[in-house]
Amino acid sequence: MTEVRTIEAGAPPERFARGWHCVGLVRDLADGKPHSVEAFGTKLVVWQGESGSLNVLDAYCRHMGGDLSQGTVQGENVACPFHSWRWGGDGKCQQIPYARRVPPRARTRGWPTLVRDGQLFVWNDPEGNPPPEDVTIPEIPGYADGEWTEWTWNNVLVEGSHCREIIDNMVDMAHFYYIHKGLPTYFKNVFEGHVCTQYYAGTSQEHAATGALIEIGQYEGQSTKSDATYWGPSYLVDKLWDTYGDMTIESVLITCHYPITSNSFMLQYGMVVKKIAGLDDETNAKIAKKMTRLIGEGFLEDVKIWRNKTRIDNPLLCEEDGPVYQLRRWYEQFYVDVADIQPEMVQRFEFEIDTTKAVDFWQQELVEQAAAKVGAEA
Amino acid sequence: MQPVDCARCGTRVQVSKNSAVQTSIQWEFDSSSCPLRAELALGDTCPALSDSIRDAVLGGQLEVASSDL
Ligand code: FES
Ligand SMILES: [Fe+2]
Repeated sequence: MTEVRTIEAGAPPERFARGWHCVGLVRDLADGKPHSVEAFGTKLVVWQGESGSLNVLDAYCRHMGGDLSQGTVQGENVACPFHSWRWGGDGKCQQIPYARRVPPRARTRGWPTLVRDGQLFVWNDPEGNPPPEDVTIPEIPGYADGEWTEWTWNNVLVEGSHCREIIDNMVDMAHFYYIHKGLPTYFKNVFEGHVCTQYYAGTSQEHAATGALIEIGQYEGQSTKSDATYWGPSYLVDKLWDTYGDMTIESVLITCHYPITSNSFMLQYGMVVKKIAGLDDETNAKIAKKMTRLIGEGFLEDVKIWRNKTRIDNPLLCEEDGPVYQLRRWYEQFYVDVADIQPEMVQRFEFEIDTTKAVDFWQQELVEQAAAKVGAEA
Repeated sequence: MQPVDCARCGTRVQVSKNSAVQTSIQWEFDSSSCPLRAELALGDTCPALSDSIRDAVLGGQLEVASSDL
């Protein structure tokens, strides 16, 4: 009797990943008002004090549980809306206006923060350790000098899925064809330490449908090259080069998320485009908006899949699939104590897919579809 | 996976190939033992190691075969 494969769904981890998580753009958070961010199984308050620094604390006031994100900013501190206890960015209660003194134990949880290229990051560590020096978020070269457009930024709330689903995208070559209307011709992953990279090159399905030769580097019409790196568990920097004829648009796409519960997360994506010489800022911004919109449509396709799929701990793979198990082994390092990180979670691993068969098949399919369409119109 | 030693730096890695193009390379540590690493992008495979893998295939020490799926 042939055995039937059984899906092991497993259960999402209860803890939240250790690492820097982007919670949004500084320009949206630094307006002198407290903001609420539901993340890591709780609620956080984010505010900018009068000195300009951004602070993040647990939103629930340790006095009687008031929600600090509903309060007000008073100088450097955030004031609770319930009894006006004033909390500083270091987590200490600085003042209780109606009391003679502040109880010495009036301390709440402060979250380490980092600002990079206009984005605010929060450090999560279930063990409570500060971020190590060598675990940080890289800068975008030229961002500070205005070589790139302003950020476009969008949020998508994903419910009913653990954020591992979006991590899986890193190694999922074939879904770029079926979900994102791409045609990958080159696909490679490298994992090392807390970093995970995907190298991708491909062309558009429209171009492939013309029957043009689409060997690597030989697209005459349109091509995409992408180097995408996760810096830790949640922040993906994707350097993109989109070529149309003799014009190449260079952009950086950020895809990041923070967990809300173990079964929901906030997906965010934003983009800066390298300003094209000869075009004014407004036109450059328009290009960024348009590209972001197209990418956003792609994410909504992912979300549709996630909403309906099952969690699967034992995916059944073919030779043209990427290294899902090794990716998850890498991802696991963020869910265990630092002392329990196993060598295989952080050792360098490289995997290049042979796309020959896939590219042949997909191109043939696209050419046939195009011919059928012409036939139907005739 | 089968061991392949880099002809340039001697680092031993575990390699498998299921086609002429497909390659998996498992390092035993990080890649700091590779003298070319500093000049390479994160995702680049060391060219000396690539040559060693190619030679291992040509020399018959590394078999190109379907992986156990
Ligand atoms: S609950 Fe915050 S001041 Fe009382
Ligand atoms: Fe996707």
